[in-house]
Amino acid sequence: MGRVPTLYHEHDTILHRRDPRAKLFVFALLVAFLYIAPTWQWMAALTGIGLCMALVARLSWKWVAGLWLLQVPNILSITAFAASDQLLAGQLPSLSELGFALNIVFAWAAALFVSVSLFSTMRTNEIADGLRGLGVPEVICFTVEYTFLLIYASLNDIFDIADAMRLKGVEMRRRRPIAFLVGIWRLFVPVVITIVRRANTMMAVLQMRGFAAATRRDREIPSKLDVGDAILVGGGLVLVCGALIARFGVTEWQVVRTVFKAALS
Amino acid sequence: MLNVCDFTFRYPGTVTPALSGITFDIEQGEVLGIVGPVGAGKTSLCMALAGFIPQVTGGSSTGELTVCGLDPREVSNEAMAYRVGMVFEDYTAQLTQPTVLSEVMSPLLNRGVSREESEDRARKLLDTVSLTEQVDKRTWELSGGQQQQVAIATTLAMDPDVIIFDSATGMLDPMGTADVRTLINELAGETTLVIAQNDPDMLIGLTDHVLVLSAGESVAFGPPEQVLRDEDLLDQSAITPPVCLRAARALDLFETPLTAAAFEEAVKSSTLSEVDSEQPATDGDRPGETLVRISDVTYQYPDGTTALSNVDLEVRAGGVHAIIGGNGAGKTTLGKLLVGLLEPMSGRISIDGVDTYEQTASELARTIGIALQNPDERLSERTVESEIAFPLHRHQYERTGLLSKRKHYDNSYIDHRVSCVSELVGLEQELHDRDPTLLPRGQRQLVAIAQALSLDPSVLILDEPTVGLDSAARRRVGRTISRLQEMGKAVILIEHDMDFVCDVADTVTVLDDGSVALAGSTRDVFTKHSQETLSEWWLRLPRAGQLASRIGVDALTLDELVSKLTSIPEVS
Repeated sequence: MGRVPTLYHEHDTILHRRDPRAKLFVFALLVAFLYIAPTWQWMAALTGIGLCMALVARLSWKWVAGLWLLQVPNILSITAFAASDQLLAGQLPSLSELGFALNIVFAWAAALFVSVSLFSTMRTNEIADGLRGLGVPEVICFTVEYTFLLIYASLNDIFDIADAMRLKGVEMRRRRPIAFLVGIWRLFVPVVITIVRRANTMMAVLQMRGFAAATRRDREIPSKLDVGDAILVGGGLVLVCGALIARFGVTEWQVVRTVFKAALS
Repeated sequence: MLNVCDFTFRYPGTVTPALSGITFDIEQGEVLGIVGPVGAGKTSLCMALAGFIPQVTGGSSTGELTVCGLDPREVSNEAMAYRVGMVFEDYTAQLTQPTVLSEVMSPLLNRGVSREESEDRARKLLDTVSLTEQVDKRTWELSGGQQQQVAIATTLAMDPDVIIFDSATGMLDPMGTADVRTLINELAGETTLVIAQNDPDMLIGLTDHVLVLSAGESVAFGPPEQVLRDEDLLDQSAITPPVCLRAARALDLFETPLTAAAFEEAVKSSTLSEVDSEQPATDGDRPGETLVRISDVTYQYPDGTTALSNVDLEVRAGGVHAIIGGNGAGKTTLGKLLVGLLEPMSGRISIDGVDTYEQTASELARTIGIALQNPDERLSERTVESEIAFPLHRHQYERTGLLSKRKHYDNSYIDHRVSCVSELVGLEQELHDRDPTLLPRGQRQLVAIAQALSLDPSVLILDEPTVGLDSAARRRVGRTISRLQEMGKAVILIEHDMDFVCDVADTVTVLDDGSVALAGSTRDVFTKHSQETLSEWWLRLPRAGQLASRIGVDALTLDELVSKLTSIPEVS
């Protein structure tokens, strides 16, 4: 119990209390921003905002740092590649020469911090309800929710099977990577058997409980948007609009009009 | 409501039909009981009635099948949706949502019921199955019995015309099973119910009709009073007769009672009386050394929930100790602590004098073995023989240096151990070349037990070994436990089946919400507390004990009951 790592972290913060639709919309704005941001400084600013959001959401720093450290090899290789000419010439590259690389490095970090801050404050059914509230087709909403469940339930099974393997003498310790990989391989048969044995029952249960697309009614999502949600969404829109203005140099009002029209539709 | 005529079904790629020539009719509101040994076709028939065979499983069928006026094979999924609800034996496969509350709400939401009403109804249903405190829990983190209770609540939320319970009570504690019986009694008359069971006792007093299946064929169909009294039929179908009937047969009573009340009447009208017999030696006084000692152990899950609190327990060599309690009481968690899969937050656990903290789970397997609830979790090899030998091969060598290792035993010893444990648990030699994952559940359970015994541990833990087993397989497990006792090993049994516990266990620890509520000899625990007190700990008297209690005899097992009653010779 409690050993399967889940995306959702239980707390009561201002970010947890925001409506899932607002958070999912801000996530969409994040994706747009990653393409729109004109310079690496904008990305760095979003990274800073992401770190603040992580602080507000009370994320585990070990978890966030661990996820970020996974990107370090990519960060080093991209930066080294961008700086290769100067380095081979025996010079240190300037920040402007590293612009593209820094853009990507900060984009990764910003995407990680902002998205994890948003999604860790939403339960799986809240994510699905948020998608429903935004008009996403029901089949996609259900697929997202069921996929999360299958991942968590399967991880639980894998942990149980790994325990059973330990009892047989298959110890999987990360300090011994070869033995660890061999141990992982030994999980294959019981995991597959478990999944295959359950498949018919799972399909039957979904059909029986009305999850088939033809029988499922659309769910009503009550509107609970408040000032906090408006501030969250407004902040995201301001950031995106600012990036648009900085990048394309169009007039402020044209940008605002265009973006708000898109948001309202 | 359910009309079946000469129904035959074959799974894809098989020649032998799983169901052959099945015929019966059930009216609306009636309750049908289906009984038979493992592999008889009970689940296949349930799946056919629910409309999943052959639509989900594939295969071919012939004959007539009408459920709620429709042939499920010919209508669309939409037409059958919500008409039939089924609670499956596999509790984990029935999860579709991440939390308990959302799971029960889901069929209501799918039907277009408002969120507020769905939540209100879901909470009431969770109260019905005694899961009020688990509403916000993640479904995959519940115990097996709790997951089954969620499945029952979710099926009730569907409000179907037909509800099928397919061996749905195996993982439930005794009070959970009693709740299901109460529920069935409440639903009968309005909802058509189908109850598939290995155990015919569950069907008495609940069903209007009983169908006996054997090897896919219907061998009897009729009222339970008629079908379940036919001992020859039940014996030929490898079904253990109801306990009242067995007691009456053992006591040479003329009547053939099926209920406790009828048994009481039969005994009163007979010449039986209680003999003065010496109380058996206190069951708990086994002279062997203490092999398992748990001292003040506390354990918390990673999310902070206290699973076990200040638990003390001792098990001696040659003893069988049962750990019982309600679903979620911490029984399996205690088992995992004993074998080193978990580490206690405080307290000490020693096995055969060695602290579990000093050894890994793999090292501890030499002194304490465990057969887990789900035998499939440990089956990874392609033959039964290699599966049983697996731990022996893993422990054959011990690394003594970077390039050196010491051999503990040779391959002939491994072959010898495999033969010994196979014989011990009753696994036939012919099965050794078979793929263990393709064996019936009862045999897979025996393979798992044999594997746990292969390293010749001093202690064996059996976690719910009788779930899903028919009477023949249960007897094999019971015989294995007896042989282990004779060999001086200690057995720890985690069980919900009080009949089995009283048959095999000398001592008992009752866990309630992670704490020890009661501990002592089996006799003391069950005879010195009323049923009301036992039900507070989610327990009940064994069936033989209930019969004995009705006629004022102190007995927990059928053998005890019979030995305490004797016939007064008639004076001519």
